[in-house]
Amino acid sequence: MDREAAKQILQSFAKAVCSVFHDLTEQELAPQGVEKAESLILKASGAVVILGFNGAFSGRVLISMPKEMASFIHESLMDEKPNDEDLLLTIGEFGNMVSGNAITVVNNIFKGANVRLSPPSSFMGDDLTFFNFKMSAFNMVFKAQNGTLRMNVALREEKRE
Amino acid sequence: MVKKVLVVDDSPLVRRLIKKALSQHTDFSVVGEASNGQEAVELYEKLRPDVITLDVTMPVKDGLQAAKEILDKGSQTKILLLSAMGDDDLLKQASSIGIEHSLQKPFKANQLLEALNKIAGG
Repeated sequence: MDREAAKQILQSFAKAVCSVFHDLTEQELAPQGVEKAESLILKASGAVVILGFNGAFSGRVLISMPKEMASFIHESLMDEKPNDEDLLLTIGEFGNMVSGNAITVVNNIFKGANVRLSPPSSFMGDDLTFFNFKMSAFNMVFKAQNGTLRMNVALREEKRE
Repeated sequence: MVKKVLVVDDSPLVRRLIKKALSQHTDFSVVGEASNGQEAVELYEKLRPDVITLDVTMPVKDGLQAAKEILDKGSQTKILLLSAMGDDDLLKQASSIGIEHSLQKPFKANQLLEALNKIAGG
């Protein structure tokens, strides 16, 4: 994948996570920077969502946040206290909204890319371990009033027709 | 007249969110819920809703496939595409099968009601 495309995809995800978080909670997420992930191993804790995307550009995004932050999003959305199942549904839909908004921008920039999402998979726990195979991954960190949100975007290029 | 709404989304959270928004509005009544496109087609046959709120990315059968099957039957049911995706190609594809209305997630309750009123005249 060329650097410009990778940059656009990463920027689209960074903007989307801030925009969706604000739309849902009316609070700001402050970006703390982007760095290339040096390890194939990725550690995450709290509420975690993974989604894949496929098309001219393919890859996957992993978003993790403290349970308190997922709980805050749920309360902002539903006006009720969540149980654990609600938290899994909330982080899943949050990941779907972020990825959908980001990929919308990518598809509008790269006409014909036809990138589509897979349904989200949600997890909750401490010290979860994930692996990246044959993909370049980038870590992004965002601060909010009630904790730190981490996003890892892994990219793999496929030929465009 | 109260408009019958079928809510189709693989996320139970989004279905609850839509039902909650519509519960405060007397012009619309949620008559059914489906979690994928196949269930949507089956419930459409059974319930004949006035409006369907339809997600795109779903297991078993996606929203556009389900919409095509429903609209190919000559249905007068209006479809509101409710998806996190909203790119030009997707909207063009939706338009080509007869879906003219969409709302991108995340949405506010008032945006949903406004969209439903616009397409169904609630």
